[in-house]
Amino acid sequence: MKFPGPLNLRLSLLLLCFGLLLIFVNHARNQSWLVERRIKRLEQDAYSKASRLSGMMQYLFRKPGSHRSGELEMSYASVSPDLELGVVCDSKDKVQFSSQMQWRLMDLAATPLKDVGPYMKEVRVTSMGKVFHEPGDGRMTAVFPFYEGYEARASGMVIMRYNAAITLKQTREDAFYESISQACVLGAGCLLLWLALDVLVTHRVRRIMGYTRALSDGQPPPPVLDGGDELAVISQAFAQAVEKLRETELSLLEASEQERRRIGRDLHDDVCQRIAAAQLKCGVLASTLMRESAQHSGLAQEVAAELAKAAQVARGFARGLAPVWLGQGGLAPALTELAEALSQSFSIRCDCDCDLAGNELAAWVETHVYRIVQELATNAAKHARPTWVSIRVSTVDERLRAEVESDGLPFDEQASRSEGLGMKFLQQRVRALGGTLKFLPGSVAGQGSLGLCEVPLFGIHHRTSD
Amino acid sequence: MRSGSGILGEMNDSRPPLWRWLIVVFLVWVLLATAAWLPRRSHSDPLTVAVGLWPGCETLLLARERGMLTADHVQLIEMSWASATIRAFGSGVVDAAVLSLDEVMHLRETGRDFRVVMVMDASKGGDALIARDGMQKLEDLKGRRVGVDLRGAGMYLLTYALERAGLKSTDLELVPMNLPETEDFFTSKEVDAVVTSEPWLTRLKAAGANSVFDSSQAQTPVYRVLVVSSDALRAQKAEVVRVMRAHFAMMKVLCQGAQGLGMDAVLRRQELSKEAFAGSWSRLKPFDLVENRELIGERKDGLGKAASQVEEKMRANGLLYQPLSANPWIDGSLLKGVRP
Repeated sequence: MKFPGPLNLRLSLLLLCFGLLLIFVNHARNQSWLVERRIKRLEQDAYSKASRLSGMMQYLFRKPGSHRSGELEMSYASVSPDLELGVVCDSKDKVQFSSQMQWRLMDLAATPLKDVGPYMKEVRVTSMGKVFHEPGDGRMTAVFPFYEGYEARASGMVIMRYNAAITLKQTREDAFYESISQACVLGAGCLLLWLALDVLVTHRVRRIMGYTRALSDGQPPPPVLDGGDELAVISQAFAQAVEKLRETELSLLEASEQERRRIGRDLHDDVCQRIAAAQLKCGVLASTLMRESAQHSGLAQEVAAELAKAAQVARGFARGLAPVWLGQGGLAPALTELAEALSQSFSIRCDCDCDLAGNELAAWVETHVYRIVQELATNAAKHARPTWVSIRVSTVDERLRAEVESDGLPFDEQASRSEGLGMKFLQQRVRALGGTLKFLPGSVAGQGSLGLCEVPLFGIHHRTSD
Repeated sequence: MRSGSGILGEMNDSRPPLWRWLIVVFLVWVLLATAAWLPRRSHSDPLTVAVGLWPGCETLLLARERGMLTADHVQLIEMSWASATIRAFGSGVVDAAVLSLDEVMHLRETGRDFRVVMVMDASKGGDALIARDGMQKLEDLKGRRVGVDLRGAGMYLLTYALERAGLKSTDLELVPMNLPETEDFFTSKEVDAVVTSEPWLTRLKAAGANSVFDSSQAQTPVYRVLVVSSDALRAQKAEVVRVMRAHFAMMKVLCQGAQGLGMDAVLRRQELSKEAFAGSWSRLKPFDLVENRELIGERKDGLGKAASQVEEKMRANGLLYQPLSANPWIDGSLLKGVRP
């Protein structure tokens, strides 16, 4: 079973459904109980009134001249709102007293109670009064005999017919209104619960989700939750775990950078020197063979030329792996050198414009910015088949902007996001800087693309005096 | 190499908007207020009205027979004993009752909070002092046994009769009895005279009784009014108006002659023939809606003035023992809700 909406809404709806079910069940039980109780009380009332009247009538009928008191007794009995009609009959079934005086001195068969013959027959046999339940909602007739004279045979009869339909209808309405009132209180409770959950849970869970989403999107994450409750602890622990992962990532980046530099230095200091020495010796060998007019002097010259090219390539590699200027405030020369190297390697025009407006960046920031630009520019030169690549680095309003633009094929961001080790390293470096990386269309419509890395500059990004 | 994690925590916190909370709080308030103010009952109990056998009350009984006063709105409690009626209303057993104005004065003595909302009629001979053959004048009653309802209209009427004859109550032997008993005691010759009212008056006259004084000769007539408890007036105003409307409608029917649906029930209740009932009805003066508005609300010499005269007469003859409640007891506002 699926509920739409956020967690607090689901919980509140669940509670509301459960509460309404409870109220419905309670309403049915309550109504049934109230109706049963009402009928029971009516039965008791019928029994007590008819019983009392029969006793009173026995006394009055035996005392001639006091029958007017019977009228009074019947008047008081008729106060019950459920009494439809009450009569007192003599042994000849003639009505002597009635709650409605119009039936006095009439034959019982001529009154609305003409259908009680079977009840009277049963009661006369047993001489015991009885309350008979009839079809219908709360209809009953109390038939109680009394001795009219001094014969040992019950002859007079008190008959009282009750109809509690109106009262029972009111009872059901009362139960319904009570349930409506309960439902209102429940609804208010559910709204308050929704509000409490919204403040205490959902809103805070959303903040944790926003934190993870920001991390996933490479955006600056929102603050962690305050307090000591479970969600705050989860949020703080998660932030700490992310911090540790980031530190590990930075350590790996740093180790990788150091390894690059070591390989670059080794390449420059060892391999390049050896190639240069071999090139020199080959040149001497070629000169000697030429003076002796030896047959292989040309081949020696070719080897010397190849070795010169190899030395140049190796030096290029060494410069790429360990830029000389980096770490010493030399981001601009390093990038210029990078541009020249790309220009030579890929035979394209590569411009570089670096203006830091007097900002002195920390060494780790220079390194990351360089590597980011290097990755973007190399990728553009390799994959976009451009005719030109432009590198621009600037600082405006305490924000560093590193842009790499090229013509040629547009950059496929979705493809690059999911695959490619280089892009992952690129994202790592952007995260390390606390910046963002976006790919935008190039300035020439329909051609090329612009890789833009923006980094808000704080104190930690600037070079310190020590 | 240093990390850039210090920027965490520098972003602004985005909280849910305040208006959302305010809406929720408002809805909670509305629901709780609904729960608190929702009436526990959607209905009111039927208005219980105690009526006697006075012919003026037959308007209400006829209305019930014709379905104008159904049991779920109005329940008529038939009480032939006037003392039982006033006791039932005074103790709150019934919400409303048809009483004579002197009985209303007794009620005011008790401090009961009620209102007279309608004047049903005035007795024009419907209450009378009747005596046996041979007693033609009031003076003949001196030293005789006279049956009377001491707390009812009969005693009030008797004060007028005694005053006219220049007698005092001590000149008679008063036998207290209720109205239905007057017929029994008189026919059994246990008393020489009785103060009675319709319908027993018609029956006794038919049996040869002799009227020596009746209500048409009283300076202030015997008014019968509808009294309603103030609680019922607040809670069941619509039912009270329903009763008043039914009375005025059926009054016209009875004034035009006893016929039509429900009249057989009226005649059975009164134990009178059609002609006898017509005679009985002629001994009262029913007040229609316009007359009621004059009597209760607009006319200075209306019910208020009559009540003052009744009070004065009763107090002068020792029928009132305590000062009357100063609470307002006449309310003509409901008459405005009754359309002719």
